[in-house]
Amino acid sequence: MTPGDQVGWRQQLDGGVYLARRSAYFFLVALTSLGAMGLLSAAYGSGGFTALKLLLLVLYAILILWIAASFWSATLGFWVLLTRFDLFARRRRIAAADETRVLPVDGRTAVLMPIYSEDPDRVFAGIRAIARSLEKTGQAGHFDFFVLSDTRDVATWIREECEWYRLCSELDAHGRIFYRNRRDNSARKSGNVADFVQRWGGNYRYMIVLDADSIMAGDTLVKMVRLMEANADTALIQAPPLPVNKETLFARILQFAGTAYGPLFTAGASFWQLGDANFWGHNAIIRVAPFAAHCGLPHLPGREPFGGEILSHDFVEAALLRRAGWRCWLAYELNGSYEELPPTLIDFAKRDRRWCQGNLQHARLIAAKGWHPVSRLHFAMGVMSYLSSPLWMLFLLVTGVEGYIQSQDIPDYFFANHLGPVWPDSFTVEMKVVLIFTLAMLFLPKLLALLLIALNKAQRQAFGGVFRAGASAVLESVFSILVAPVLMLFQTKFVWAIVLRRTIGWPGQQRADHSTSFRDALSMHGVQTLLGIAAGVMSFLYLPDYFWWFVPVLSGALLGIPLSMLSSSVYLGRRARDWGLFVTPQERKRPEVLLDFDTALAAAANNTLAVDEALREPYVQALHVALLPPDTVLSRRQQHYRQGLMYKVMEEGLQALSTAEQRELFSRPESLRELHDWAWTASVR
Amino acid sequence: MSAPHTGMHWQRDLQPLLDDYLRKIGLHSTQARMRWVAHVLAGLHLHVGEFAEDDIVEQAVEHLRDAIDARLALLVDLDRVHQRHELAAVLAVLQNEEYADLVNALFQDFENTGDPHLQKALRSAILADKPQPVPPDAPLSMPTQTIELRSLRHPFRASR
Repeated sequence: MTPGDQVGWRQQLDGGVYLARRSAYFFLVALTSLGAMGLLSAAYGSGGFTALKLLLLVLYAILILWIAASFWSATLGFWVLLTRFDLFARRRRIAAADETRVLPVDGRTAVLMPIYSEDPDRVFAGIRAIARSLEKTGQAGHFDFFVLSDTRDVATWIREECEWYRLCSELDAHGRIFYRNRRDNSARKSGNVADFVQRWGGNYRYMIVLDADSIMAGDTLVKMVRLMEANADTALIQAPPLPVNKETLFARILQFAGTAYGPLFTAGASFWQLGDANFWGHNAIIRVAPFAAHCGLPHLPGREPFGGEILSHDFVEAALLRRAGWRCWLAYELNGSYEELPPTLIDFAKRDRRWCQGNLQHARLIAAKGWHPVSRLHFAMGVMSYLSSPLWMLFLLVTGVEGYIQSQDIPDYFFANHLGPVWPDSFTVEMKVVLIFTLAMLFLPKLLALLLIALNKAQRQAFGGVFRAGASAVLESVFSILVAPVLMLFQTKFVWAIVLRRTIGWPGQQRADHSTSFRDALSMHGVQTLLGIAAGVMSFLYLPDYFWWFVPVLSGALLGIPLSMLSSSVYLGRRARDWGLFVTPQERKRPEVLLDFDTALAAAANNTLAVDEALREPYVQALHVALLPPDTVLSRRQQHYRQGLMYKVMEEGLQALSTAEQRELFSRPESLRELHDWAWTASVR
Repeated sequence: MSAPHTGMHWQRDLQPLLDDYLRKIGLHSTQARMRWVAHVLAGLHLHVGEFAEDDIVEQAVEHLRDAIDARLALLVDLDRVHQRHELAAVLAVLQNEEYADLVNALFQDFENTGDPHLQKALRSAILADKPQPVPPDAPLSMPTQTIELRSLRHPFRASR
């Protein structure tokens, strides 16, 4: 057999596996959805179909398809993780572990951390931990780090520079860890990464894109490069990140869910997506040349939120790579990839608001020409992850209206030529089956995840035993039942706002643990509580038979304020950990890279240098000047503008300038020298 | 601050300010700082009629900053006026705590420039710790892709 025959044989085998897996997945999703639809049609069909019943059926069809897709992904993931029978993962494991595969000397890897108004202590503690971990692999020489800052606020900008320089000196990494602050932060994160590619992309064969809260083990970075080297047709490999590091009760519950159930979903997604997987925006390795050639993002016609810049760029970049014939993989078996979650329900909702706008924008892309069918599916699933909330809400409302109409009907037992009474058909059994069926699809993946933990000794120990993992799963389920209506109301509001073409700009994120005050909770959940009360009263008065069915949904809406406040508590999060609840393997036995991160964060300067103070520091000022690009010649108009700003500072202080005006002065060495001298003058006035 | 040009009060008033600046640079020796302050004030005195009373503090800080730059420029053969960017990088290197002794040695005496050991130590510090924010450019072109959208209103509208 020649190598060519071998390749052909292997491609045929792979093609067969692709067909078999996708056929199985889509068949199971379709069969389940049709089964549920059949039961519901039988229940609704009594007494004929009305317009409302048809609407309910259509809504249920869409929602059950969405649930079934998720359910079968998790179930297939369970099967894959249980049997460990996955041809592609096996190949990847072998390639990743192949230490004889020398990392390319001619093709280096850039590790990118795009940041925007983040806490510099956190950012550089993360970089420090990753760089140290990479050092231990002995392969650090093949990697460079880039902190790509889009930060606007000058105080944070200066702190980033100081932390960067300190890190380079401590790790003796000058010339290996780079920092740049972008003068014009157009196109947000995608523009930030594109700027890197356009300026320095030619130096690198691969780039590993991180988020500001990402942490990755050095060993994982090396494995990712080896995988890319072994798969010349692959442009992107996504390593699924596990959630870590947060201590609020809310984040710890989500961390537990993400760690216990998440692997099922990622393994399942990888099972049917295969080489057509998606990009999650971070913790992924990308081949730079094809990315440069095919991922220059266009502006969509029309105005925001549906037109303009593409916000959720990751999905589109993966689709563009697939359109150009490159493979994208989700390597679910890769460990050592971590991220942090929003600490509170409100922060989670705020993040959802941004993601919602980005994902809904993809609705316009689903039918665009040239995409791979699986890429279309990724777009559609992204849209559905937010559209499902208003659809559920509509479903509940229409169910209520239909229930009310039915309750007004007076049954007629004697009609036509029937001598005895004709009892109306009861479809209670079918309705109950539909409900149980739907709930089973929502909760069964959690049971499967627990089963997987119970069957594996190491996992059992890592989660603190089956009993604690089980208790955590039960409490997590109760919490998710209560939070689901809150998120449904939030997401419905977001979707509605976006449909009304309201955009949100680019707000920074609050990532550090913090408690939600009553005032914040009231402003975010107040309307939800009122809606919950109104819905509760109406269902109790007009739909007494349905009232108890609505209780779980109503409770969530009614308890939004206390739920949000209590779950934001760090104290409760820690107490839960003391009781062995929601404990993840990463908490029980901290991976080395996370331990390094903890140490680095604890030792961080926690420097909150104000701009005026920073300006007085000769070394801080010198470093800032040294990092600025050389001064360009200013036009007379620019000179007058700059001088005007200087006068304003001298008269009214730096605070009198807007962020953009402060940046203007801080971007010019000449202005900085003047500001430095002024800061000393101001100190004695 | 009251700084009448005519008297010598302004010199007395400026002393603690300049001393504080030199402390921030890391110069521990009181005698050395006093020498620097005297040097700057003497230089300033020569130009006293050339600037307004209000500007005296700014002028003093500028004189001190220029004197420090001049000292470094001489030691590393840089042009103080035209290579300010590089000079800033040299000064930034000296913020490292490991160079605390070097800073004191460098600024002990603002006139002596010929100490080869000092120059060697400074050059090796620069070599080891000079800030290198970005690597040399290696540009790649990133052509904007076309996505042909299909919609009911504009069936073949393309985005560029």
